[in-house]
Amino acid sequence: MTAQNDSAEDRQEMSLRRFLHDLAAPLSAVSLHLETAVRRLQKGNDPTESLATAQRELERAFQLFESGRTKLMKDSEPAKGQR
Amino acid sequence: MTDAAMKTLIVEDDTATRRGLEESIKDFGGEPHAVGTAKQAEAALKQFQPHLLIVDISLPDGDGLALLRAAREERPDLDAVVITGSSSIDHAIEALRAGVADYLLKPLRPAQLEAVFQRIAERRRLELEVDTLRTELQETGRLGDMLGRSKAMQGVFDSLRKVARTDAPVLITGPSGSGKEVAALTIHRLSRRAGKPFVAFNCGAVSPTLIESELFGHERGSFTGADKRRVGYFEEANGGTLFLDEITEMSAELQIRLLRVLEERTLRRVGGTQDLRLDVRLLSATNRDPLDAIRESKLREDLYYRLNVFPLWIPPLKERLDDIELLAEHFLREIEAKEKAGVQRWDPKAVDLLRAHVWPGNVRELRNIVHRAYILTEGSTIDARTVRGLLPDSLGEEYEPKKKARPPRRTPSRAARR
Repeated sequence: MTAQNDSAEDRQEMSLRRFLHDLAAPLSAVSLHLETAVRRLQKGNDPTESLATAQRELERAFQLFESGRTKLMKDSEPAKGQR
Repeated sequence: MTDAAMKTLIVEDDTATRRGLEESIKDFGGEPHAVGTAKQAEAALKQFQPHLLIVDISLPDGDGLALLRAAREERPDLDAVVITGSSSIDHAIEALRAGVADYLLKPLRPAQLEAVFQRIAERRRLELEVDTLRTELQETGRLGDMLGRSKAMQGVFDSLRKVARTDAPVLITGPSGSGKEVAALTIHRLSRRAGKPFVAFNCGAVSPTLIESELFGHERGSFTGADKRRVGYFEEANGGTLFLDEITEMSAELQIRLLRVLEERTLRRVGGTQDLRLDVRLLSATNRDPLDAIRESKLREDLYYRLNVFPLWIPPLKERLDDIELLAEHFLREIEAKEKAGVQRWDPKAVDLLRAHVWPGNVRELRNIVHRAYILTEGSTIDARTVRGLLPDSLGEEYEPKKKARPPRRTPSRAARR
């Protein structure tokens, strides 16, 4: 029973690690492109392209967040049943 | 020195992050080239020849750290920054072993990225400058703005390069016009403080009553006429180098204050109540023998020991006559570049006359003579007649200044100690 619990916890931890790892990529892109947009604005250049990329990457982050949350909730269900 | 942009190879599989990195590096003043796989990176390392590699640890076709190790085996001077989405300590240790300059965690913070990039760029700029200066020294008898192929000057250059690497206070001695300030500037330019201010202050050129507020600054209302706060030379030089010339012209009270600043590394403006932390390298100079100055109570002995951690003696021009031609050629080129009158050469006989002179005013006097000869010359060559007319009648006669500065002895004599 303990071994099963450990393996469920390991799986959950792995999922969480993967989720955080995946989420870090679009968040990096959002922050880099927003910063680029700010610099462009300060120099009087057009920031549209950087803002559009930041917006797309933010959407990707939301999608990853939603699917990660769903998966984590699903993963935690059998553990509840075992209590 | 070349100021070429730092060539930066970015290896990142996430397209949007890769593009964001590329734009950022461009904005920071670098020259980016971005690829998405380890295989592309291997090719780019050969073709693009980057100065800096920014690599993600997890790549679709390989390991970023393995790529980094292989790249540094080929190019040990390659700087590298590793990016990872995992905060694993093992990764960090492995990256450090592979010789990375820094380690950035995702999500990336642009300010952090910029700080890392600029730190590496600044270090690279300094390394390039040092390399350039070393090459100049070897090839042309030049170190920064200092010139000399003579044995005496090669010895000065050697000491100067060694002391520039440290933060030690240097007391530069030598007769007037021998180039003490130029030596101080060269030390600054070769040091890790090169990108920071170099502030020169001549203690003999400012009225004694004003030196204190000029050096240490003052608060508003601290004395009559102080209608606003003034930052002093020490604060102006913060992070960089302060050069105090004619140090023995400073009053005894001010020497005590200077000693305190050097010991405590803090400063209080005149009329101020707060101590300000300082990070200033102090270089000082005098054309007197500092031990004579101690005996005559012109220089405090305790301050002398503080300033004279590393003594540097600049010889008079008459002790480096081998350098006259090099200096005369250099000054002529320098003046011609500004004035453009077409005077470009020396008649060898004119140079012989320069070599025969005693030069009591040292390099400064030589420069003035070259400038005067330049103005008087009508053709393209400065001839012997023009030079003869400019040199004092006492040509060949030994000129002895009243108080010659000589290389200081290492320690004051017992009689000089208080």
